[in-house]
Amino acid sequence: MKNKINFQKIAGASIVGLMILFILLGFLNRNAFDAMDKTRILSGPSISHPFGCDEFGRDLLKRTQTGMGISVVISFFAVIIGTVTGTIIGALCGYFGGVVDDILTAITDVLFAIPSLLLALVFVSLFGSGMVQVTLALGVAIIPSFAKMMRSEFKKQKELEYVKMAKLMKVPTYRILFVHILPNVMETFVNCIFIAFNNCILAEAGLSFIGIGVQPPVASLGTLLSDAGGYLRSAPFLVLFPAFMLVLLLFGIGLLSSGESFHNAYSKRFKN
Amino acid sequence: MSEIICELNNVNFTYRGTDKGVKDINLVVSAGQCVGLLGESGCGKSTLAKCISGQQKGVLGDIKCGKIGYIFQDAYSSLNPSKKVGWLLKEVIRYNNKSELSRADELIKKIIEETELDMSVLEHYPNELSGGQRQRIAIACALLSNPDILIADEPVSALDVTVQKQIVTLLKKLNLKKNLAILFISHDIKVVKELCDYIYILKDGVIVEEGDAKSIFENAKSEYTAALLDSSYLVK
Repeated sequence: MKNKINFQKIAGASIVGLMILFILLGFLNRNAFDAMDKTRILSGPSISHPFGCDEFGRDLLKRTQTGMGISVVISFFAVIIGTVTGTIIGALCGYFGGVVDDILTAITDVLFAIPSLLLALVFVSLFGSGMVQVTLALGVAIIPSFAKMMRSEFKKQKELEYVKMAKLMKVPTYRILFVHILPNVMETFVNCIFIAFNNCILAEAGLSFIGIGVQPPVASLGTLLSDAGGYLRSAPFLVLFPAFMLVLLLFGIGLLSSGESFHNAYSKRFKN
Repeated sequence: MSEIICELNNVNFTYRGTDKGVKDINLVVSAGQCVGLLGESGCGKSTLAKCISGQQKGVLGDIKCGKIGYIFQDAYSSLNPSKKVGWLLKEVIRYNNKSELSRADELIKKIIEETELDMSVLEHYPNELSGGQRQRIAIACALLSNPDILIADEPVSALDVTVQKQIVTLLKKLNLKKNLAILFISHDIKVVKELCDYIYILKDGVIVEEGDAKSIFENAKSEYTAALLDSSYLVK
């Protein structure tokens, strides 16, 4: 059967690819992100400074590139923390059920009842602000949702005969969980990663916006938006460019995760 | 007398909150014997198979059984959809026949020939194969674990008639060639008649009759067995 071209995914991959290129170009010229030019304070977009300059005369393009890179790196590691921990908890709950499920589900339910941003706020308040703390806070915040999704998937899968067959064949439990079952829940797993990544980008921007995320002079999308707050009327480009890039990145990731599944092959194998 | 491979004495199991299950089951399967477990749907055949294979917890009574190879009813869901057939077969060797892992390819080739498949299936995912091929692979997986007894839980009920015939013939061949004990579970009288030498008739979780296939089909003692045989126009 001929594979259909998924335009949504192509568009998403193109946008995300461009965003990555945008970030990498910023990192190549990293020293310049906080270079100040007093003659350029709050100057608008020009050929030498396409995004304009901020209140200290720093080039907004370079700051947006660096800020976006930092937001992506924080979100990337937060997603890894949340994914690994959430998947292990969800897999154990769903597969074993019983007391293990009751205890771990109760803990994740409590965490789930607290909004992610609030949970991250509590974490940052306890352990201080900074890149590492924000990454850990966001990672912890997404564990409950990951654990919930994976629990229901593993619970469904363990009832299928291929899992019973593996048990009868004396395959060790860890291997049943992560070698036999995990590839069959990839569709949900990958979609969860995209959703979590988008949420992390937004949450990081939110935390930095309210001043408890990444600390100056390091830039992130949140700090750029926060710093620009006082110049909405006099220099709206300070908000517009970082905000546009943030929306574009989220839109690209959204498109990439939408439409037909990334792991369509797995769904086809199940449907057949 | 042949060696006893599987013996059940007073086996009881009840699903929690119901009175359904199996009651006072006494059953014997000897080496090289093909034993049929016959009964209508919902009579407890699969439950008994699960009790024997250890899939069911809370089973009372005495179960002594050699190494079990299990074939599920639905070959579609008993093979992992995300793994290629070659991987699935190797996985069985990895955990059941570790010492032979170094010559896994040789063993796989042999079992593929025995189950009358083509070597090309090894490179396919289960969804790319027909129902009959999948059931043969399920049989190959069960055989690779070097079982003393093969429990086949309605292995042909999801297949069309011609494929049913092929699988039954294959099981009979394996039974004779390897002197393999088989506990064949089915509600299909015709299939059981063709394959089994000894039959247990199960009704509402209780064995109501047992005997040689010939005596059961020609001279059923219990009313239920007679009614069961009468109800099937396939049996002559």
